[in-house]
Amino acid sequence: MTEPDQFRSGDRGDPEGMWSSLGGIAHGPIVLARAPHIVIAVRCVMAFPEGLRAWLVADTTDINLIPPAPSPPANHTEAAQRLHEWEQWPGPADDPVVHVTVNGHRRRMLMLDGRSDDADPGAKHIDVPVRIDGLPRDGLVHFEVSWKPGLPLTSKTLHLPQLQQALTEVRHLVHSAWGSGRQVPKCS
Amino acid sequence: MSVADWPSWPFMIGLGVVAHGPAVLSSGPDIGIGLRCIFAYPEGLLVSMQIRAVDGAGQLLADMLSHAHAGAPRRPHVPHSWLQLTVLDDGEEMPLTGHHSSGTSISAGVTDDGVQTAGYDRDVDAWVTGTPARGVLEIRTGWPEVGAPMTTTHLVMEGLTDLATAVEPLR
Repeated sequence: MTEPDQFRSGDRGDPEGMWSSLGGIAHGPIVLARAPHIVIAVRCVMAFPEGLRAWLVADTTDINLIPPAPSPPANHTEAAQRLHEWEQWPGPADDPVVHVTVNGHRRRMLMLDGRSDDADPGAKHIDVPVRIDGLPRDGLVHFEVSWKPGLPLTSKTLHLPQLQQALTEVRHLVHSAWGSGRQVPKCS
Repeated sequence: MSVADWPSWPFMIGLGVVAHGPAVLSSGPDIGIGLRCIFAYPEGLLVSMQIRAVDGAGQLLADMLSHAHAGAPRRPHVPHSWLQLTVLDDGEEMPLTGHHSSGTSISAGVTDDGVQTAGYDRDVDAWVTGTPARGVLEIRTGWPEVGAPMTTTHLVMEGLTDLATAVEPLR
């Protein structure tokens, strides 16, 4: 089976178990990469039997150091086209580029749902949990991040020695037959 | 205080220390209110919560929220209500001064048995000013109108010492 080459924040295709459970904390906060006026970090990594959820944060106080934001769409048609393009690849042009490798599978993370509209003028802030399918057999999660030109490509590997302990701390939130059926998102 | 009145969210202040992991704070038929984690800062706590409702409770919330949108399909009237949340330190209520929420989702589907069902998911991240002096946080929360009873939970915080140096600044 071909696996998707990207993950999306807020993806309603998340496994049911990740929606109906509270993940154990497998890793605490850590900076993945930092450059003057730019930082990309992990607030924490939550573990579920189906995989991980990494709470990512990207922040810059100078948007001149990152790619320019796309201009507002001129009309509804253009807006719909742009959304369709983002759903395919590669996301907003002014977003950081984040790839995660687990068990040899490298995928891009898209952070579409976590942007802040009230960041300071001239700044940009993204704060969002993203899903990582599968649990690392070797306990390693490899990040590659960049936000060019201000932040060059940087690699960071997280070690999750507490992964098994974190899995014992998973709490089931609600019971349902929901996961057995077809799901059709209506709005978000 | 209504969450709508809370000031802007304070995430930019840095990478908080994980002071507590997941816990179920209130649960009822088809609904759960859970704590994902608590991040600690010298200035206060970020209490990250998750609401998940399915089946009956999910449908109730879907009906409730449908009235918030003009032109929404006509559904049974459900009076609007909202999550109740109080945070205390040694019996004293702590101010909730920040709020951020995202990821609200209403979904509809059909089970394998052909039963129509609905789901509701919401992240609620509450900013609490201050940290508990004795390291124990009391959270009272629930949503009785949709089946989650008011429940009190005492949480023993970790890592509250030397937060000023432990918190990694973002800026």
